[in-house]
Amino acid sequence: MSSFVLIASLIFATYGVAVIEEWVSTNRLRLAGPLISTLRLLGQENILPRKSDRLFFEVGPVLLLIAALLSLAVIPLAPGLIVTDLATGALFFNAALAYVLVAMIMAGWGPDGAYGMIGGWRFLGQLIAYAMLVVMPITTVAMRAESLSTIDIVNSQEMLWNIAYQPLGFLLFLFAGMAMAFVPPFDLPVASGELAGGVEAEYTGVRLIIFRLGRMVLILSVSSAIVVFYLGGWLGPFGPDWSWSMIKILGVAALMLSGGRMLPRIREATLLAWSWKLGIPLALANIFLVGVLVLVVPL
Amino acid sequence: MFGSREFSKPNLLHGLIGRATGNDLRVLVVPGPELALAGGLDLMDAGLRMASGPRDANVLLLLPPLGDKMLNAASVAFAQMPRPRAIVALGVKNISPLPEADIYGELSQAGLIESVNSLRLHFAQNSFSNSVQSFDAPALQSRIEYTCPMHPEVVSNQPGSCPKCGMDLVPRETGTDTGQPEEKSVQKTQSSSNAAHAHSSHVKTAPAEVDHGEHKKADGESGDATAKYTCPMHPEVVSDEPGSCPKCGMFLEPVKAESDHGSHSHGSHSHESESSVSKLIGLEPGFMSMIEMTEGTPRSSDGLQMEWITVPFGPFFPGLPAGFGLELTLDGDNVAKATTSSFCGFSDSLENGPINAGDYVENLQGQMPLAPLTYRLLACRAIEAAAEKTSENDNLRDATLAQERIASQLRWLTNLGRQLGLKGIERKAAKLQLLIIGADYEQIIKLTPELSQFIKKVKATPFLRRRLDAVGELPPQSNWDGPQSIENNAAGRLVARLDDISQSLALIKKAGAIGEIKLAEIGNAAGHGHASVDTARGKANLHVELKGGQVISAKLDTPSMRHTELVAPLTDQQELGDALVAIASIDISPWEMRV
Amino acid sequence: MSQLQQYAILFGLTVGTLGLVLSLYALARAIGKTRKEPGKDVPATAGQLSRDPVWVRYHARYTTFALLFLAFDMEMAFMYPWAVVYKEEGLVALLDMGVFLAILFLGLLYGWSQSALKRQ
Repeated sequence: MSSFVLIASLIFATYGVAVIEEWVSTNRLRLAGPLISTLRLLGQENILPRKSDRLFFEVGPVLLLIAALLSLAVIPLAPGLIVTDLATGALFFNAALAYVLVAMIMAGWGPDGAYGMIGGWRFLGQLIAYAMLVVMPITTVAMRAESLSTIDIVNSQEMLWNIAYQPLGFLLFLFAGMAMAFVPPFDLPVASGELAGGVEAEYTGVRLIIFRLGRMVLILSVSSAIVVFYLGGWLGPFGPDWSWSMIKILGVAALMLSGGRMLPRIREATLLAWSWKLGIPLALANIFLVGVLVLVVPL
Repeated sequence: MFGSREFSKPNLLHGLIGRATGNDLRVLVVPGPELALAGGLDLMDAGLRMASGPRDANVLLLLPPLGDKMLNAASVAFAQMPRPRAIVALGVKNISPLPEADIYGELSQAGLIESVNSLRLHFAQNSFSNSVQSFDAPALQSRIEYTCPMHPEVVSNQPGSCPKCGMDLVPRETGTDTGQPEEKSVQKTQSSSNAAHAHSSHVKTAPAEVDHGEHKKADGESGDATAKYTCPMHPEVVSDEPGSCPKCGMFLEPVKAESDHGSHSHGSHSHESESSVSKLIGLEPGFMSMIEMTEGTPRSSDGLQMEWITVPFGPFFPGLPAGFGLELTLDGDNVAKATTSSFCGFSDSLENGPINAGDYVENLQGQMPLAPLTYRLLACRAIEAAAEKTSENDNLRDATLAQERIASQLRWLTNLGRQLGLKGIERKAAKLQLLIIGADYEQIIKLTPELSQFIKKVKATPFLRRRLDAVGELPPQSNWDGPQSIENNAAGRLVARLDDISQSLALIKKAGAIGEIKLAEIGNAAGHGHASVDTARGKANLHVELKGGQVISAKLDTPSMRHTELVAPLTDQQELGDALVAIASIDISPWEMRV
Repeated sequence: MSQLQQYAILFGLTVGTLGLVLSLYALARAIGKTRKEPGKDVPATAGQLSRDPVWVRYHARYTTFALLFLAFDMEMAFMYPWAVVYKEEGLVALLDMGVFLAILFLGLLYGWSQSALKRQ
């Protein structure tokens, strides 16, 4: 029963993220939009660029999907409503999402097209910018929870959500997560105006379905991580636990997808400079601050 | 059917897919989305979404005017679109080399909406069909040429060795448009082998076969096959026997022609795409040492020797002016070199002899679809100056010009929004542009508050100025006469364009009405005349010579012609994203470039 | 659930995803074949047929960031176990890691002063 609820809500949430994505990019709400797009792509030709690195080209999207799904596996929707409650959950989340980079570089390099290749390498630059800002805030979350298990992390926030306990970490993790899920304004690798589609440029048909699905699951996974690490996961005043998780997750996803549309796209060089000159000193300061806070006011 | 997928008995799923395709239309606009805006077409409203490239598109929307060059580029884009795909032609009839359009319509919003409705039906019925044809066009043909991996400027029709470094030339595929007499035979082989393979449609192997045949033939004919020894320092020294170089006394080294040829024919026989790739870029194991690899390759700004690639960013690149053929040589993602061309340029030579003054005005207007009234005004003024007539309603004419300037700046903003990922600005600017172009005086006055608010919003966009600040500094004393800005960078030019909109609005308000631009009666006047007009992009000058009421010669000088020369200095050693923004900031119109 | 079972579930998830992907591919194949046409399989570059291969040694301009990243990423490996026992150990843990992070931060400042934090 619980596994059925889990799968159903994950599918629902992924679909919801796709609807929101289309909504914010076209300014038009179409509930059937993702379904129609999927059907269209299913019926589209699957073009294999000649002289492509077939292995990289095929593996890229699939790896993106698998990495995103694995990272989602350690996210609890409610106590007991989790695929695997690993003792090293937060670390596993991070480890699984490291493969997003590999997938992107493979997908960009594979087709031997210039736009994709540049998009892939730019994402590597982006990773060097965001990776530290993902792991350092996770550390401070774990410091408070005294555990890397995602369930323990949520339980540790019963008194006060982490967004209030360590707001700096939340902001850093939010931006880093957006860069990791390459949503605007960090959508450099797949942007239309920048590289005519970039990494996505050579993908058509069913391969593009997998790529887009992987991306949606990735956005879902990052926003659920934000909810679990900072917004108290399933904790809510009334009603079933899982519904609070869902509301928060979709809310964060909507915020991530729409917020960045107001800003011009950030190039990887700018992001690198910001991240290393400002972000990492702040993240180190956050570790120190939370370190003191955990000893002085252990809520 | 050139757009359907092949399937003999479509079932329920195919029907569903067809209907889904019809409800999820991604359009690639030829010449480009700004032409749709200038023509008053609201693509979003008609239910079309802009595709980011040919792979993303399932509809090719053709709008007039279309030249041969543009149609050739469109045929390449169409060939790369995945099926099911369709062509919609609004207001154009002859679109060869593209196949017949699936939907023809008239050039208006009503025509567009009607076409989209028929398009939905078309996809629902014809996404899958049992009579399917392959699309082919001259622009898609290829031939093999040989080039030196170290010296890309060395290009030959036959295999051999590089005159600069003595390395063996490697084969490379290229288009057929660079006309040389020898290529004909290759082209023939290519097309005949294509025909032979059309049934199994295994196009991929065709170039390899041609390649092999060519190589063999050349092997027998060329003198290179007998050259065995060469000086490592002086490649022009070639000898049949070992010995020392007459120039420097070094021992001559054997040329590695044999081993290369062996592996080459092997590659052709096995039809392995990997092996031909490694041949193409010279990465074959043992082919050459690292030192040889980097010898002669260009040096980057930081002194590293890297390989450069040349990438086309046009004519249909989203975020750049449509029809603008930008080609960037990239060193990583730094621009090392930029070349520009136009896919839709004008011609001011009067090929068909003298032409009536009135016809000339119409002609020039027709050649400039992005600023028709501006150039109409320019032609009228020049002709009137030649006939020594003065026009009485100059104020009203300026108001018309101002209206077109506003529309032009808004289109530019749409493009900038698309390029930077600012969807809100992209949408709003496009909407306002559509309202402005058809508007009369009262409507423009009514739109003024909305426009002012939009200008304020754009100026207040967070991080936009910061993004544009460091980009697009024009070299001192450059030939720039577009909107004058205080700051010499892309941010300054953005502000200048926004201010231009406000000033144009004020000008219209002052004029009190918008006038039609009509050529004054000039009779059988003769003489020289010169006029200039401040277009949205800068000053345009026209010099005409009249004789008996006819234009016998004309010389047009447009802002874009001068500003294209700025592309190279603006992009040199810039990061690719910055380079694209810099190019966008000077707002080049390819229609204003010579063919 | 034992740890081993949990990893078995994750493995099952991976295999299941692969299965889903493969069945989608099979469905797409059943819907129709891709027609081979001239020019179609050339990587698309906005309307021009660019047949030049692009697989070159790419000139990445963030190499100095990448080196710093390696140093920091190594350090993060120690941070996770430290974070878990941090509350238990108390002030000592803060000082231990404080010294470590301070050294690392000085390294970052040094790199900054040597203009490592800019595009090459």
